[in-house]
Amino acid sequence: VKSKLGIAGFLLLMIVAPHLIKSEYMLNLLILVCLYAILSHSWNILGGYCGQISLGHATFFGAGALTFRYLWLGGVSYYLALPAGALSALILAFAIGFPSFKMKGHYFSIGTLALAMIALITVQNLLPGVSFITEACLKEYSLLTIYYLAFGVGVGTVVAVYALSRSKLGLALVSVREDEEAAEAIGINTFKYKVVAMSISTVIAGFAGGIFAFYCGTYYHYAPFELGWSFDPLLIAFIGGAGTVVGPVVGAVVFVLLKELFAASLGQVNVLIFGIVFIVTVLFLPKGLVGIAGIFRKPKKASATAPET
Amino acid sequence: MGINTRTVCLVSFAIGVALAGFPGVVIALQTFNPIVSFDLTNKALIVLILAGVGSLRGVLFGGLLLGVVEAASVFLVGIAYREVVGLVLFVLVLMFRPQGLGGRKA
Repeated sequence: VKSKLGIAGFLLLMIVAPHLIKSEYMLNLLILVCLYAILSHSWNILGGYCGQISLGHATFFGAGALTFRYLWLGGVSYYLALPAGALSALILAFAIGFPSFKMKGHYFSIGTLALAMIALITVQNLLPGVSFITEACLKEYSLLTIYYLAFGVGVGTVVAVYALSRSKLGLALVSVREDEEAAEAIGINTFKYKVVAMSISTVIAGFAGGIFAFYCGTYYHYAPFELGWSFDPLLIAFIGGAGTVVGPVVGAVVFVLLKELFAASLGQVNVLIFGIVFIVTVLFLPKGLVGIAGIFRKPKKASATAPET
Repeated sequence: MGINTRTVCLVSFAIGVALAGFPGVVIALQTFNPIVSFDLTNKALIVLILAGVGSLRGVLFGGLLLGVVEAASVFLVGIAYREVVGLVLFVLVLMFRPQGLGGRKA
């Protein structure tokens, strides 16, 4: 009951937050946190729960962004364009995502990375220009709307992942992660579950892409296809704790804060910081920042709450 | 069996890294920028997968194949998609012939 009250209080706080702080800068940060949390949760379902380390999430993110942009600038309102973007990401997953499951383990990772690079170069060549926001759309553009949209999708994502982690489906995914051959041997259709995980994952990535396209006024068409959009969610998930519900959210907060902190003082070198942070977390906190909580908690309770099963 | 795996790993890593220095010298003879290393690592990976991991002769032919394919693709599909052709080849080999073009079935 206490934790439920806490969650309700937190949600309420986040809803009224933009009215309390009244600072556009803080609102920007909150939007970024939501965006990264959604994207890394999307990666988390496939990578954290199902164990398929994808390095090609930028493709689906970009597909969502591209579709959203075209529809939105074409006059479709954003709440219709957003699911359309997610749908386009899912369609793309049918085209290139599911066949990539023919590759296993590390080959899956480099294969999806190659796919992401193909998508990036193709979009760079087909759409070399900058995507401008039209005047009609500028009227719809408000940070507050974007924040509530991002927050809403974020809450939806977290609830979905929580439900997933408690369901039979979640257990099946984890069994695929732990030992694919053993899971196959006890009668789990691993390919089916990988496809399901990727479907959910890409839909969420498409939503994140739509929010990015809504949030960023003017950007190069290929910007959401940049490889960074594949690596960042992985980084966030591992820093926060891959395969957990809270991990990516915690990771996103840390990531955005660190990025703001170091981007101002170090410029491009801030990428270096994340490399170091990532290596340190993987070496010393294999469960991520969420794992710290488990150390201090009573052993009995920790085993009951740890979403490891 | 009494093999010091740590030593073997270290020695093979050392030899590999030392060998990587030679193409570095060749690159340094022409114009380059530090970021080029990512592209080159990528190409090396493509060649390796084409050849089949652990295949000695395959690597030679894999490298030759990638070079020819990239050069041909400039004529056929345009210079902008040169990299894409190599990557597509890479993904296709990964999917349908994971042991590489020259490698024997594991």
